[in-house]
Amino acid sequence: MKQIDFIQNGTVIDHIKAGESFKVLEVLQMIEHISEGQCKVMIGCNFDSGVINRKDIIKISGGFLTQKEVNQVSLIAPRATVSIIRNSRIIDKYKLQVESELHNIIACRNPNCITNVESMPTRFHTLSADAGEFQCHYCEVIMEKEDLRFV
Amino acid sequence: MLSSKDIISIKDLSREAILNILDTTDLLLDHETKHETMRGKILATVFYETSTRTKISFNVAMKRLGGNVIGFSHLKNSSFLKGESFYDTLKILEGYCDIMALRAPWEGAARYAGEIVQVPVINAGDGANQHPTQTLLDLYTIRRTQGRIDKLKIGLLGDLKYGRTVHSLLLGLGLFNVELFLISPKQLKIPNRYQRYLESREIRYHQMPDYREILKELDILYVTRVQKERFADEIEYAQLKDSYILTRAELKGVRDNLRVLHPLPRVNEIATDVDESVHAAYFEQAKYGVNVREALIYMLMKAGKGES
Repeated sequence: MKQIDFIQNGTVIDHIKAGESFKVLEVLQMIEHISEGQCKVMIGCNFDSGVINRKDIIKISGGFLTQKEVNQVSLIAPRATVSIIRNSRIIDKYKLQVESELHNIIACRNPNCITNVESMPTRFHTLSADAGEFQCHYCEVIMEKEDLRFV
Repeated sequence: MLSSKDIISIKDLSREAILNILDTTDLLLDHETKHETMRGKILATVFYETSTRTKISFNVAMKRLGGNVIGFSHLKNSSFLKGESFYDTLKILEGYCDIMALRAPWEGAARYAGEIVQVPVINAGDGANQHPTQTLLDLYTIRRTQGRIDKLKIGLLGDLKYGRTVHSLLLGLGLFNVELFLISPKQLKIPNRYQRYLESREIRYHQMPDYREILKELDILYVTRVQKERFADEIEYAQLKDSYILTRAELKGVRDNLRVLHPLPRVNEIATDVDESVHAAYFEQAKYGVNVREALIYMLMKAGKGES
């Protein structure tokens, strides 16, 4: 069943847990070529899914993500899949994976953390990818999904 | 021996590493005059905020080992206010010393320092995060006064919600087979994540608002201060504050081996008449702070690149 329009070139982020696509859009909004209107973004919510019951889906026509951007999306939608489409064909498809250590991807929520005082890269340990819990390597504060702020 | 070149967080230490540190402390304490192992070595006490007792304790530890001490003791005495980065200051000091004790108002500063410099770093307190030498001296005092840590009944009294010292001690005690009595007003109960930690370690613990009901059962009572500013309601504080003052009269009938510990400074939570009691161990505990820091300097220098 066709749920949203096919795209000829671009990226499809599928199997986003229902309701979380808006948070993913916040990440995509920071990406220049997407936010500046060079590509069309389609969003579908609450579709049936055999894999995760109900899912959201985002299609970016004419837009591709860097590895860092993919890593950022993975923190919000750890079970999503990404497909790269060229000339209407899927040329690459993979499941997102949250790295066990995050290097300079998110900022620490603790204003008194050394990473917010000194100009230095951040580092986090993933405690639970599904629950979205990450511990700062330096100040040991635990971040939850709502706290995530990208570097 | 220690697995890391630094002492940053109690979480990094295994039970074996902790016991190793306590054994070395015993060794140094019982053969005090024989150790001049740090002759010609320099400890830098890099203190971005004032902590007089901790700094003096590190100074004495290094001097007892025959070494020398340099350093600064306040942010305003560092070049930080001139705009120098923490990184640059540490890289410069690294060239001047063989080992560092770092106190900083920023959480995570010690972990970062350990990554920047090659010399061993001892965390002497990083903001609200960790103060591992305090926990090690607490554990040392418990073992020194009781002969063991396992199978003890230990009461932790006071502000269990915000107290960094208590949280850190709890992580250390979680590596031993102890029974804990967590005594606090309901507003200052131990946070859930520490309860989960104790459960994961299968540590028996009980929560209660008053120590009097279990005082006679305890081997150790670790007292901390209940601070007024933690209460939104002043009346509530006024009602509570006197119920958390340990007096000598209350120590009648307790176990002979009971020892009362306190990280100090004390305000009024232990009445001064307790000081003369055989059960008071808090000044002894402060004294052991030097011995434990001696052991850490000795072990890190022996293991690390600090030893030439």
